[in-house]
Amino acid sequence: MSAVPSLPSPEAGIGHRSLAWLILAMTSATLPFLFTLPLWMPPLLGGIGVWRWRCERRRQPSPSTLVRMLISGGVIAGLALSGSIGLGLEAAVPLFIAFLWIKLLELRGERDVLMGCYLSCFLAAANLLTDQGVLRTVYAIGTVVIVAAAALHFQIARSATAPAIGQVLRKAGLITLQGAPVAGLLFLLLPRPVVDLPLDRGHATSGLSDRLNPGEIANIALSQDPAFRVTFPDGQPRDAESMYWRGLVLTDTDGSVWTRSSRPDPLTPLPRLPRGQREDPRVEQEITLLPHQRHWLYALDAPAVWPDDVKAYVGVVLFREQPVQNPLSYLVTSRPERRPVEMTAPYRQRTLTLPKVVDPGVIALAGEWRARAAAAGDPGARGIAAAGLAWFGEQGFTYTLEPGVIDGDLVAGFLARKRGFCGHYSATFALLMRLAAVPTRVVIGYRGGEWNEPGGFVLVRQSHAHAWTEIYLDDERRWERIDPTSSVTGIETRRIASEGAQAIDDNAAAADGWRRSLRRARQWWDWVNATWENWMFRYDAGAQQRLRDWLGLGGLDRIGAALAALGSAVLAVVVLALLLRRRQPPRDPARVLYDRWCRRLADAGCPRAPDEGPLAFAQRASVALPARAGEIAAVTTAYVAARYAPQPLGALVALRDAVRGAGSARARG
Amino acid sequence: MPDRQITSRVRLRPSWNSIRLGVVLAAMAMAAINYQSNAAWLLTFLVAGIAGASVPHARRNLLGIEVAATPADAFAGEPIALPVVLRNRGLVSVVAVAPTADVMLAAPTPATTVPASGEAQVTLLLAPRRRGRCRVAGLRATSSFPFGLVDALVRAPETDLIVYPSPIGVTLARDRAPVPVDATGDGQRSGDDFAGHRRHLSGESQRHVDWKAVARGRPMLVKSYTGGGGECRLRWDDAVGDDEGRLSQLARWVLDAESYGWHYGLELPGTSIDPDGGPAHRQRCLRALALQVVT
Repeated sequence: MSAVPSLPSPEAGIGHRSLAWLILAMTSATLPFLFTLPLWMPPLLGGIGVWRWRCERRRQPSPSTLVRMLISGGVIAGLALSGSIGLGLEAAVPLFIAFLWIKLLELRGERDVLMGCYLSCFLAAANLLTDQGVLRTVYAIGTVVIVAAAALHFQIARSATAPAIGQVLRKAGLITLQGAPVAGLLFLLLPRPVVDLPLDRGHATSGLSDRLNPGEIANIALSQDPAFRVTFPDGQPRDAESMYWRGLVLTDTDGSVWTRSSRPDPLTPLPRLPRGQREDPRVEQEITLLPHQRHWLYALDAPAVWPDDVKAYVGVVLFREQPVQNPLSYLVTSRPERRPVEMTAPYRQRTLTLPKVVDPGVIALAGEWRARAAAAGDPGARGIAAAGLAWFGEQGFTYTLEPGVIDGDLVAGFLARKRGFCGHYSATFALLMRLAAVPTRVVIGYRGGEWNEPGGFVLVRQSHAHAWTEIYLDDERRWERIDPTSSVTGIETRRIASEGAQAIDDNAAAADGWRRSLRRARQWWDWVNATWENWMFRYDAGAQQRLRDWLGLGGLDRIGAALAALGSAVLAVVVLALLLRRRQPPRDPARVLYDRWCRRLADAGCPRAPDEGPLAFAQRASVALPARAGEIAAVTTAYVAARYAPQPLGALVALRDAVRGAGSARARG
Repeated sequence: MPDRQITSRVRLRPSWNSIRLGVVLAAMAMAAINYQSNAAWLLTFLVAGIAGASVPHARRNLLGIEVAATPADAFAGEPIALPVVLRNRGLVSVVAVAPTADVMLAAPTPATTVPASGEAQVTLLLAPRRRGRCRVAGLRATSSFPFGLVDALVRAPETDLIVYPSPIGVTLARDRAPVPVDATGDGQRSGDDFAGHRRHLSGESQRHVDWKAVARGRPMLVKSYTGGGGECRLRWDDAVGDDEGRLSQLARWVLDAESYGWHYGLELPGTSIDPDGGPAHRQRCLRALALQVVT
């Protein structure tokens, strides 16, 4: 008995080229998370990829189970030690990435390769969870195309020679494009479940925090990320430079850091202003706030009318029940003139509270301000503030984002160095005013904004972060905004400084033109982002319902709408199938040529019966048309040869020549 | 061959990979719900859309392919090598296609590419069968192109195999040499003179087939012998054992007699074959043994 022959197993290898494609796809999916991984992980993962690839290339077996388990255990231990394992999706990403790459070591056949591809898609989507910007989305779609190319390459390469890079990418791009209509229909029509899953969403916050720590605000001020966008329904472009965007009010201080009240909030919500009341100038704004994971909202100083789901507290700060985790649009009406408010005794007490330790020099300076105000004939709050600002001006204070590290008492250190930024100015000014017995609080928010010409909105960036103070005027019974930073240094200084290291070359006109076009390009880019976010973020259940109404499907319930969406997607696939079918030549080329020739004979009076074989037909036709017997014999021989030849291409050419020759001979004759 | 355009009927059925992708898509959707990320939804739907678009591609890939198996005779208890031809009538090459059958041996055949208007021949190894006429179950050409989510398949026309009784038993004794047929009787009677390789004939024993060459895609080659003449009758009554044992013994003798170069006849209950020699005769005898009805 002969032994059962051993055929080469198709599972024997993936092929180093296909493996390289898979690694490329995984790299593309992993890359956005590079900086969230522990430092040791990227080199390790890269090493695993290269190692596995070399094994495949040299046709060596992949590492043994023991080695794999050791590596897996090591990676898990390493992740646990570096604190990179946690509950929730974001916290699970490093672990997920580790397993995806370790899986490379035991990659065997089609199933494993495809699983690697699917999981890469998941990773690409995971990158869109917290930031849905244009660039990220485009990148994720690009990753999906590469993943599709990797899967295609594997399928083609295991049955034939490895295809060219361009060929695979083209085909993957084509299938992606063909899948886009299905994706679009599902996106537009499929109702999405609104479920609050008990999954941790992570707490990556951005923007201002609820404390004024001069060091922190300097970091934010260097960021060009957008904070929010504002459109004005009455359409008037405003003087964006002079706008104060109110955020939080800070009342408590330990001498250097200002915070919100640490005590349970005794503040009661303010009553909403009735809509009909239009006694003074108002500014209506629609603000699209990008997610900052906090509860408070920003609005032009000071908001007077706000949405129903927003509560306002003393100090006119707007709060929301839920933190802002998705871009949020809201309408606010603000009134530049401040309304008179009653000052309660506890609140006055709080806005006068001093830190436990105050530098004696600072106390002396507050006394000097009071004296100067009294000398100037205005011993009230307004007079003391004016005296203080004048003092700053005389002392030659300057604005800088890099004041250096201040050791010891922050206020005293700043007063000695005479340079700092809005955080230093506000904190110092507020403390001095309180020392002079004026109720004072610090407000943090943003100042200014960029008017975006193409989009018609004001873009406020993190670099516009600002802090200023408010003092209470007892005689007018209202709070008055005092911005020591701009009063002392002028807003222009602040703006130029915030643009950081951008070289300003006023002399070179060419450089100026280049700068202008750069600014213009940036404006367009801001507009693209704004449009994308408007579209992407605002497309919710309500928008879907409006679309269904427009399509005449408004009456459907959720299940009906889901079925309609799925049905339309299936229909799109069927249409694609029909289109693809047509692209396949339906007939044997030899048969096409032969049929063409048969039609000629039919014209000559000798049609071929549908079930008549070519040889029988040739016999009959030669009798019916004896003059064309030679032609009939030539074409029939060539046709039979082409249909049954082992190498049909040459026979096809012969048939084509025979049919053509017959045609031209007839034309000549 | 009928002169009619054959359009292959492509069937599609979801594979396990589609379940796996479904699970991953569900996970993506969960993440999108949890983070209320429209962009993640968009990507989820794009992957689903690509999966959907791959279905017509899977179908299109196999359009124009035909599967045909040349019926092959084999001995019971030995793997059956079934040559299968994949013919592509289309003008586009067919990618990653492999013939399969329900009764295959462990190793599935590697996928191949069939060029446009061309064909590819693949030898399938089928599991051993019992004696008699049997059908190759589920012979088809399958492909999981492009993404392995659906298996596209084209069925082959039904193919029957004749499986001979396993040639087990006592070797036919040389000294049983009967009357020489060849009048010259030049002594060249032993059939063990090696005469080189020749192509394997359908229905022939596969014992001397060079399997390693087959695995390399070469045709099946067997050793052939020249032999002297002789004539004998192989009788049912001469064989011992139960019915199947007798059939196996007779098959053994047929092979031996053929390899000795004798002329041999077969006498079975209800059937009788006159003495003759050569591959065609051998096949006739073995088929008679394969199809012999025993009570």
